[in-house]
Amino acid sequence: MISSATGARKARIRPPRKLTSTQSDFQKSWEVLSSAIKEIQEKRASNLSFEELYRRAYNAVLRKHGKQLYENIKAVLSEHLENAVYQKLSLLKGEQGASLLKAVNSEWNDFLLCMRMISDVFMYLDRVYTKESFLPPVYNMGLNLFRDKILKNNNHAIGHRLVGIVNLELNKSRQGEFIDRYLIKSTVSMFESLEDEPRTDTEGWRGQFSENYYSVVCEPALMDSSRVYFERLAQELLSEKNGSLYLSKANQLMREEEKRLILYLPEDTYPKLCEMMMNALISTNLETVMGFENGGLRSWISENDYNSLSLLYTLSGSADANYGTLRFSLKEMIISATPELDEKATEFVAELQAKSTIPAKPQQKKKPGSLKESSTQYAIKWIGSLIELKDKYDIMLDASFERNVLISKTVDSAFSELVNLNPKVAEYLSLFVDDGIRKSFKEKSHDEYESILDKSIVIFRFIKDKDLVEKYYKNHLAKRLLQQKSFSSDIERSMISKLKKEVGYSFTSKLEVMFRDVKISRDTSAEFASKLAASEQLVADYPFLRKLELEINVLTGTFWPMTVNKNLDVNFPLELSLLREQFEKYYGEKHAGRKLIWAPNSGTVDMRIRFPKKTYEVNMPVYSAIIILLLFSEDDQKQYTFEEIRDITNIPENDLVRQLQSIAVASRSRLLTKTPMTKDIHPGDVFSVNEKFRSPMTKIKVLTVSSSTKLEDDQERSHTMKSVDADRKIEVDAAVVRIMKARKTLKHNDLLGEIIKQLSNRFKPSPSLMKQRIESLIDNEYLERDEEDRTVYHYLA
Amino acid sequence: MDRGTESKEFVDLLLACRSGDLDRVDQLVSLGINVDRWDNSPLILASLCGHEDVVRFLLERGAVCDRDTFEGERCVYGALNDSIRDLLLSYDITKAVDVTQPFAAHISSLVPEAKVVTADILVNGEKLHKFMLSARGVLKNISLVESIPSITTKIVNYVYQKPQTGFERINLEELLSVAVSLDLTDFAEMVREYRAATTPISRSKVMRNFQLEMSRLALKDMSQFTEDQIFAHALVKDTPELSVQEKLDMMTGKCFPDVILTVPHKDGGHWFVPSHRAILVRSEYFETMFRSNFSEASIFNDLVSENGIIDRNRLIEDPDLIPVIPVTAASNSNLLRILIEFLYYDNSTFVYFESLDVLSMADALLIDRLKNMASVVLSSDGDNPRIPVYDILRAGWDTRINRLETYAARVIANRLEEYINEPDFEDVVLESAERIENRHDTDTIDLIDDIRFYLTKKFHITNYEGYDVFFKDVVKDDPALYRDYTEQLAWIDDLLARLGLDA
Repeated sequence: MISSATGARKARIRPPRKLTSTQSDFQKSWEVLSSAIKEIQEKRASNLSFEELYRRAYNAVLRKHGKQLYENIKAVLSEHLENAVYQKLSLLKGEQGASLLKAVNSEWNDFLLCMRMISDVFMYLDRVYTKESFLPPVYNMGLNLFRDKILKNNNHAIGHRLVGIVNLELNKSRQGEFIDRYLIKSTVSMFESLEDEPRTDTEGWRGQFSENYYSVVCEPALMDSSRVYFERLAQELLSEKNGSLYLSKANQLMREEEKRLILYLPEDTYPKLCEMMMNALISTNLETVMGFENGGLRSWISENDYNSLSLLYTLSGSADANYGTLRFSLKEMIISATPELDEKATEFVAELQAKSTIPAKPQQKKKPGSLKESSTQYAIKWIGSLIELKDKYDIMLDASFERNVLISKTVDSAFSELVNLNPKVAEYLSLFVDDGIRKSFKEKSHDEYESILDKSIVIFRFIKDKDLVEKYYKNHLAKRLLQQKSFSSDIERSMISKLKKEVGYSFTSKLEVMFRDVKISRDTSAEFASKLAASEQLVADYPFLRKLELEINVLTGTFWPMTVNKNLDVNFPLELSLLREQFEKYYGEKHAGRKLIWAPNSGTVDMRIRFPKKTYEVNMPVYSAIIILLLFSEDDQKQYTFEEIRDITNIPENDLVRQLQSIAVASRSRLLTKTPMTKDIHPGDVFSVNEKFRSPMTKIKVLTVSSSTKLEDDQERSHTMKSVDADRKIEVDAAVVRIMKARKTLKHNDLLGEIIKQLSNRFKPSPSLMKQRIESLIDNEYLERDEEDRTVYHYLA
Repeated sequence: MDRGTESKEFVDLLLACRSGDLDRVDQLVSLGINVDRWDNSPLILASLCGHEDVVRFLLERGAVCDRDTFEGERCVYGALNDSIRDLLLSYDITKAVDVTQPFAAHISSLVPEAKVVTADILVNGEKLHKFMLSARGVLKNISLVESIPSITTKIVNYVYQKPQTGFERINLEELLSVAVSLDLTDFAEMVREYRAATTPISRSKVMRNFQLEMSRLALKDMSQFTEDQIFAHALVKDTPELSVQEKLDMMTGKCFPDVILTVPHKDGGHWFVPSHRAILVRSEYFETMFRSNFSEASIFNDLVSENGIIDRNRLIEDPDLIPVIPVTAASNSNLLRILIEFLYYDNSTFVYFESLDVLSMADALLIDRLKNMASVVLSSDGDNPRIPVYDILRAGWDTRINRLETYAARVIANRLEEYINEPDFEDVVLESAERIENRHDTDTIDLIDDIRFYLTKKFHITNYEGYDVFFKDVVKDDPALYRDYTEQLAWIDDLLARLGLDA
C-alpha cells in the first residue's frame, strides 16, 4: 500500500494547509448559528440542518474562533434568559406557590431540551476549545446561566421563593395535606443539577465535589425549618408526660417522615434529616422519657412491658449505636434494687411469722431461736428475689433487647455491683443453696432445681469474695453430710460440679474429699459391724453388744470445717467406750499410723427409753446420751446437781449447758426435770428423770442449737471473717511465692497485678493486705528488694 | 496481499509490539495480519516489553496464549510484570473470546436496543435490520430462521457478532439443517465440529475458534455487501438533487438504506451513496446527528411504527422522506469511500497521500480510531516525508495528535540544516509559541523542545535532560558530533532571538 519514499520533499503536492478565515467569515457563520439557537428556543428546530450548523461551528473552531464563539453563545443565552424567561417568571409574583413552581419547572424543562440541542451543535467546540481552556462545556455553561440569570438574579428573588415554596409544601404534607409530589421532586432535582460556582482555589477541578444550588441554598433552609418542626413536635409529645405514648407516637411520626423524605428529597439529604429527626425526637429526650413515672423505664420493667421496651431499644439504638443512655439508666435501675430486695425479704419473713404464730399459741412469747430462724429465711428469700430479678432482666434481654451484647454486659456488671453491695451475700447464697438441698428442692423436678442451681451459680459469678462463699458452703455442706440432711446426693454432686466448672478444681477439691470421707465411712461402719458380730468371745462377754450399732464418720481433719478438741476427755459410758475401743482396734489394724480423734460433740445416739407410761425412741446428741447413760439409766430416782453431772461426765461446761437445755428445758424433749424450773441452766440446779414425760410421737429427736444451718450472728460473723482473713493471708503468700518463683524478678505494680489476676477466682485482695504480705515474705527471706530500684523484688531460692 | 508485503507488515507489527505503539498495532492488525504467526511473537514481545495495553489488544484480536504449549508457557514466563501475567492467564484457552473489537462491538450493540432507533424488521420479537440480515445472507430465508425461536437467537447472535458460548439446550440437528439451508457453510461446519466435540473444554475451544472465524467472516460479508449493494447502488449526477425514482431505486434493492450520503465526485458531479444510520452512528458525529432533533433525524420520528421499528413501507411510499445528507467533512467521493469502508467493515487501507484528508475527516466526524490510524500512516514516511512537514505539524495541532507533533519535530531535527532558513519554519515556530501563550504562562515552546530532544538523538548525545543547566554535565561522547550538536542548537537560538522569542 505504501510505495517507497521516492518523492522529493520539496515537490509540494498541495498548498500549505494553514487554515485562516476572516472576521467577516465568522460573522456570517455566527449569524446562522445564532438564528438557529433562536429557532431551537422557539421549538422550530426540526427544520434546521444539523450538518450545516455543526460544520459552521466546526470551521469556526478550526479557524481559532473558539473563544469568540463560546462568548457569543453565552451572550445569546444570557440575553434569552434575562429578557424572555426571567421577565415572564417575575410577572408571576403575586400568585400561589405551586403555580410558580409549575412555571419554573416548565421553563426549566424547555431550557434543558434547548441546551441539549445547542450543545449537540457545538460538540466540536466543547471537544477542543472549552476543554483546553478549562471552561464548562456549553451545556453546563447554559445551566450555570440559568442558575445566575433566573434563580440568583436580583438577589435570589426567584430562588429563595422557590425554596420557600418547597419548604411550605413539605410542611403541608406533614400536616397530611395532599401536595404535588412530582413538582417538588422535579424542582429539587433542578436545584441539584445547578452546580454552584467552582471554587477559585480549585481551578480546573470541577465536577463531583462541587456543591449545587440544592446543597448550598435549599438544603440548609430545609434543615432549619425541619428542625423547628421536629423540636415543636417533641415538645408537644413530651407535654403528655407518658413515655410509652411518646415512644410509639415518635416512632410512628418518624416512619411517616422517612417515607415522605424518600419521596421528595435527594438521597443525600435523607440521612441528614433522619439523623436530625432522631436527634430532636429521641436522643435529646431519651433520658426524660425514660424517667417518666407514667410509662417510663421503671414501669415498663416492673410491668414487663416488652413492647415499649423493644421500641425503646430500637429507637435508642438508631439514635446511638452504643445505647449509652439506655445502658446508663438500666444500670442505675439495677443497682438501686437493694431496697426492693430487702423489702421483699422483710415482707416474706413477716408473713411467715404471722402464719406460724397465729395458729400456735399467740400468747406465747417469741421463741429464743426464732430471730435467727427468721433472719435465715430472710437471707433465703433475699437470694430468691435476686434470682427472680435477674430472671426478669434475662427475659427482658431476650424479649426486647435482642440479647444485645453491650446491654447484656451492662446488666451483668450492674448485677455484680448490686450483689456486692450486700456484705452478707456469700453467706446468703450458701444458705439459699443449703435450704434448697435440705428442703425446698424436694418438691421440685430435676430440671427445676437444676435451673435454680444454675442461677445460683450466676449469682456466685457476680460475688467478688468467692473464698467466703467457699467457707460458708463448706460449713453448710459439712452439716448436711454429717446429719444426712441432703435429700439427694445427686444434687450435692451436681452443685459441686457446677462450682468446679465455674472456678476450677482447687475450689471444690476439699468439698469432694468431704464427700469421699462420708462415703468411705459408710463402708467402714458396715464392715466394722460385721466384724463385731463375728467376734464371739467379745459378744459372749458383753451380751448387750448385740444390740449396739455404730455408724461412724471418719473425717479427714484438715478438710472439714469444724474444730476438734484434741484434749477432750469425756467419760464414755461402758457401751460407748466399748464400741470406741473396738473400733479403734479395728481401724488401727486397717490403717496403721492413723490417729483417730473422737468428736463426741458432733454425733448422735439413738436409744430406746422406757418411761412409766410409754417407751420412746429418742435420737439425741452423743453428749446427751452420755449424760443419760452414765447417770440416769440405772436408777431413775437419782438426782444430780449440775456440778455433779459436769464432774462425772467431764463434758466441757458450755457444751453441757446446751445439752441440759435440750433435754431438761426444751418442751418437746424434756427427758429430765430441773429444779428450779427455770429456762436457764445455772450451777446448783438439780436434775432428775422426768417420770411424767409424754409426747404424741414415739420417735423423738433431741435438737441442739447447732443442728440446723442458720444465719450467723455478729459474733459468729466476726469469727468467720477472722478465719477468712487468716486464710487470705496464706493465699496471698502462696500466690506471691508462686508468681515470684516463676518470674524471679518483678516490679511492685506488676506483682500486685499478677496477684490480683491469680486470686480473681477467690477474692479481691486489698492493696494493704498485699503489701503487708510482701513485707512479711521479705522478712522471712522469700523475697528481697532490689538494691537500686526499691520497687523491684527478687525471688530468693 | 502478497507474501512479500505481508512479511514487511509483520515485521512492522513486531516493532510496534516491542515499542508499545498501540495505534500502530491496531492499524496493522486491521490490515488483516494474523497475530498468531511466528510462534506468537507479537504477543511475546508485547508482554516481554511490558506493554499491557498491546497485550490486551492482541488477546482480544485472537492471539492465543495456551499454557499447554511451549510458546504459551514462554509468554507467561516472560511477562514483565504480574499484571500482564494475570492478563495472559485470564485469557486462557478455555475462555470465550471477548469480542471487544470495535467493529464487532458496534454491530453487537445494535441489538437488542440501539442508541438510535434503526431497526426495520421484527424477527420473533427481536428488532433487527434488514440490511444486516441481507448482508449476512439470512434475509432471504428469514421465515426459516423465525420458525424455531431457540435457533433464531443463535442466528441473530451470528449475524450481529454476539459472543456465543455454546449450544446447550439447542437441538443441534435442527440448527445444522437451518444453517445448511441458509448456505451458512462455515456456521454449519462449526456446528458439526461442536457436535463432534465431547468434553466441555474441547467444545469451548471450538466455540473460541468459531468466534474468531465468525469475525473474519462477518468482515468479509460486510465488505462484499459494501461493494455489491452500497457502492453498486451509488449514483453520479451532475445536479445536486436526486429524483424520486432514483431514490426509490436505491431503496428497493437488497441494500435497504435509510439515508443517502452525498459528496462531490472526484471526477466532477455529485456522488450519492445509499447508507445506514445503524452503521454511521459508529461516528459520534452521526450518532449525535441522528439522536438529536434536527431535520436529519426528525423525519424518522414519524416513521417509527407501534412496535418500535422503522416502517420502511412509508419510505417507499414517499421516497422523498429519505434524508440526503451532505458529508462535507469528506472532500470527495474517494474520502467518503474510505469512510464507508472503515465504518462498514473496519477497512483502513488508504494510501499515504490520502492520510492527511482522512485525518481531518475523522477529526471532524469524531472518529478517534480512524484518526489514530491516519496519523500512524501519516507519520510513517521516514525522515523525508513526501507531504510537507509543516502540513503534518499543523494537522497534528489541529487534530490534537501528539504523535504528529513529535514526528514533525524529529523530521525537522534530522534535517535541520534544510529547514532552519525556511520562512515556513519561522512561521510554525511562531505558531507553536502562540499556541502556548493561549494556554499557559510558561516560556517553553513545545516544538523547540521536541526539536532539541531529537537533536540529542541525532548526535547521540547521552544524559540529555532538556534544560540548559544540565549541559555542562553532558557526556561528550564524540567531540565532532558534539560540536555539530552545539552548532545546530545555536542555529535555533539565533532563530528564536531573531523572532524575539525566549525559550
